[in-house]
Amino acid sequence: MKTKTPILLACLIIVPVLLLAWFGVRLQHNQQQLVTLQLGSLIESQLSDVDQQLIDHFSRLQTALDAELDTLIQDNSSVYRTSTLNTLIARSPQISHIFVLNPSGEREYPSPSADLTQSEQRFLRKTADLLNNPALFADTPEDIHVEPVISATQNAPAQYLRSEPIPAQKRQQPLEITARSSRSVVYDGGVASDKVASDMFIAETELAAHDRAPAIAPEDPITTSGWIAWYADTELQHIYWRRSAQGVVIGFALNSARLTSDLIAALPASQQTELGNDPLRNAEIRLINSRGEQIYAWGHLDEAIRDAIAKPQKILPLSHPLGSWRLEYVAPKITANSDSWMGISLVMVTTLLGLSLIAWLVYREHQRDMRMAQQRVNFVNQVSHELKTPLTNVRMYAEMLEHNLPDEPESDRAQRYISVISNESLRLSRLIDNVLSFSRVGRGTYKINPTPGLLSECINTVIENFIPALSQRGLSVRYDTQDDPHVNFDCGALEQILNNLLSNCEKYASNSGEITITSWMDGHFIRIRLSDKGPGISKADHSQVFSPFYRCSNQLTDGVTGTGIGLGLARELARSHGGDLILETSTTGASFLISLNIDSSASTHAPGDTQ
Amino acid sequence: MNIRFVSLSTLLLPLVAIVLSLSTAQAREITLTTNLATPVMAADETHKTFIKISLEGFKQEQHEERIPANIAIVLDKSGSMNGDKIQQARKAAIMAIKRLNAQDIVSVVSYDSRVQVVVPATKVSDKHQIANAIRNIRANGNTALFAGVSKGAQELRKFLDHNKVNRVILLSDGLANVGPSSANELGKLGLSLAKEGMSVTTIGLGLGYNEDLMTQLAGFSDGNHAFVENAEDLAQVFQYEFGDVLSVVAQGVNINIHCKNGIKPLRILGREAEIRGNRITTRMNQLYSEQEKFIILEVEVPARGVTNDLEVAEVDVSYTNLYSQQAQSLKNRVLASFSQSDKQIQEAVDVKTYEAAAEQVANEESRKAIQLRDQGDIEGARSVLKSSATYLDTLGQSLSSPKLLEQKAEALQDAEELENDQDWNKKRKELKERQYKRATQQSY
Repeated sequence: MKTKTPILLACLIIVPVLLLAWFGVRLQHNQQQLVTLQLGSLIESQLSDVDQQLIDHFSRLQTALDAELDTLIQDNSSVYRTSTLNTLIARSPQISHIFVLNPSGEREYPSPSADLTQSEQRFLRKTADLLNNPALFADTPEDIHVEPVISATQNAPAQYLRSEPIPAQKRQQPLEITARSSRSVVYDGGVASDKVASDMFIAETELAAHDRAPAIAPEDPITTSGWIAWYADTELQHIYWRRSAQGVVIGFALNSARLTSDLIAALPASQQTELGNDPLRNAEIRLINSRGEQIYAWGHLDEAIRDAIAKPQKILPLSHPLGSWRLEYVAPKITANSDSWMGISLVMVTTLLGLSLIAWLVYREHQRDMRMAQQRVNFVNQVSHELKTPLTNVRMYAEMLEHNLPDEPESDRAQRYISVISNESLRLSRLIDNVLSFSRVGRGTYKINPTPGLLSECINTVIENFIPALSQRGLSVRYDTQDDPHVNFDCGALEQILNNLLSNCEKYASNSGEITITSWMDGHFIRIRLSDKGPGISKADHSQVFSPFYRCSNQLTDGVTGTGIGLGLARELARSHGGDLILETSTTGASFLISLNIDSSASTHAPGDTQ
Repeated sequence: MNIRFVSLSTLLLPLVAIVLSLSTAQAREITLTTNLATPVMAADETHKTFIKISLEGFKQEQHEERIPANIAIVLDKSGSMNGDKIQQARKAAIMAIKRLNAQDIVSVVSYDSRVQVVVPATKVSDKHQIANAIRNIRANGNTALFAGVSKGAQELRKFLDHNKVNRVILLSDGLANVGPSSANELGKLGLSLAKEGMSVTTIGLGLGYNEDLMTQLAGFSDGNHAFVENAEDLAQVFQYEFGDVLSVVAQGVNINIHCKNGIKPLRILGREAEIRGNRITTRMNQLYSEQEKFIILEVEVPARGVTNDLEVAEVDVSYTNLYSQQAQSLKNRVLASFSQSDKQIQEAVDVKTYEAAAEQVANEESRKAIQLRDQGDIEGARSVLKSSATYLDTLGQSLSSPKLLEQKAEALQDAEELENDQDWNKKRKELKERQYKRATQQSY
């Protein structure tokens, strides 16, 4: 009883806190997943924005180059003048070289017959294979033998990546662009005759895989144009070409370093001071070329954190003509927001403290109640003790008086009065005994005290004491015993048990005739059966009758006083005697079976263990 | 009547003044001088000789407004700059900006692994604020040099104007290790920027930077280059550089040389040029006030009989005069004579031109020596420098030129200092700087 309360209270505290913790963790987990998801899409849109910026740059570049081409054509309808081309190269920061192929695929500029500068010679050496493949500048890429590139070994034939011009409407429909601009064809340049030249080309593989859907190309009826990307001098080189209606192809080879520089310039710089709302305040975006080298990066990331991150969170391959380049988003893994963890812990701690306080108050109240109850029980015990001595005197003197009364008819009345006094005081002393035994059993201090004696003697004493009261209620007792050996038992305890049973008979089975008591030996046990012919105990009450303070509630018990401890106490006493008291099912009246163990060593059952 | 006359004269006087000032402005042009090292050559022999094409900016008058500058200072703030270096760099930049005024535009870009635009292109009206922003630069991280220059150029582009002096001043103390980092790539970038009218001046600080990359970038964009070993000297170099920037008088100088009468151009010494058959084109981004910049062209003259005043080459120069804000052009012809008289030939030798040509030839040899030394051929490098010294000695004696003899001593000393691997790093930077300055006639 004493340890149970704290355990119960502890459970009361722990269970809600655990539940709370579980819900908190679940909530946190869900929230984190949500945040990760949101962040992922945010990162993706951020990266595709950057991709779009780069595409826009190419789009602007293409517009500028187209404008240059238009001015060239204005000068002369179909033939490009060498001097204008020279000036354009000298003037344009983006263009490093220009070539012109006539309709039969022969080079017209730089003119094969004229003197060439050193840089022109280098350029022609580098692009020999490219310029010998006029098919690269054909109208429809479908005509070209398209082959997925397998290996990128140094001696593999040169490969070029060609693609449609970037459609002008791209800017309005950013989603469509990605699909369309990825349309590219890897062209197998054939067997490279010049080993030196082929060494310069690095095959492009990644974009071939990108080739998603053949889009409807915005074909210009007069001219076609497109981009070619290939590797030379370990750099990605770009050529923008246009084929006129007459079949003259003009190509602008771009200054690769300048292109890179322009791309960098088009991308944001890192903020010098950290801004709270900067989306890259703890992340950076890297532009990586096809060799995996970092071209540019921006954002805020501590050097130490940056070194610790092995893998970028997101990789976005860039659209053509920067295929095989990619963007990487690098940021530390999103760890649980310490704020929200703090919040949950705070709630948990508060709940824990609150519940503990309540539990402590309840416990204290409970303890106080327990103490009070104990005090009351003590008080009752004390009072019972105090009552016992005067009562004994009253009984003794009443008995003495009864003996000393003269055998006269006029003393009959006095005789009767005295016997009432004697009986009532006997009843009172039984009651007090009950109370005292009950509290002893409750405290666990009750000890049986077996002494050798005759069972029938003990039982007869009880019956004798009860006869006056029982006969008043119209009851008689018949006692049968089969064998009556000399045994070791606690007569006091048995008397108290029988007292309680008989007192019940007296109360509840009045005018029912005979009460039968039988006793016999059964091995180590004394068995005593007591049955009456009264109304009995209803089945529903069978399990309850032994509970202390329980009183069956029916018309029988109405108006009859009782403490409600009698049967319970009787059973406890039987149990402390190594036996038991059970209510037997019987057809007429109530029948109780008392068992007492007379083998003193077998008296193992500790009283007070059960309620 | 009297009153009328007075009023008329007051009206006329400023008019006269305007006309006068216009006429002086007209006279202020670039001076183009073309000389042949040997104006008289022996007849019936093939010759190799040098043509010097020299351009000199006119004097900037004290009282007049100078040409506004558009400057991007690109500062390396990588980890290696930590401490004294970054402190000195900040100080130097702040001091240099103090020389600018409200019509100038300045931007400050700093770079480590990332690039920050410290001061976006802005008019220099609040120097205090700019200085404060510069003071906040802290050193940390790697060296994204290419991106730094790209962003610097982008800042210049915001106010790019052919009537301004557009310049990126790049300071670096380390190897570019983020982004494109080869000398070739930086050279190509420099070339592209030059086409837009920007120059990149590169200042290498300490012994860690890549001098090839820095000279290529400066060379292709016609900026200056300096090797600063001690951070304390930075302020001085910045002052020189700003002095140069503020004394630009002409920009976009295109030089076309057309060799005539079978004369074949062989090479241009020191500078980048394109040779297409018998035409040579080269350009300078700018000319500074009272500074001479020249080009030495080596030509092969075929054998010819006794001739007078044969046209060797025609030189066309076009440029933008920043003061008149007009495109101007100059034309000169180079003439040569062929004679049989040794005396006449000897007397005609143009000592100054020959001296300048010899200086550039020896400079080219010095470059070759570095290449050999890079390949590990110390002996080869030494012998190149020694023969260069002999060449300088012979010419120095015959032209009685103390300048060439001095260069000879230099070459001999260089030959001695090739060996030591430990000192080579520093020596190479010194050599590169010296070669660069010689080739471009840099003022400091």
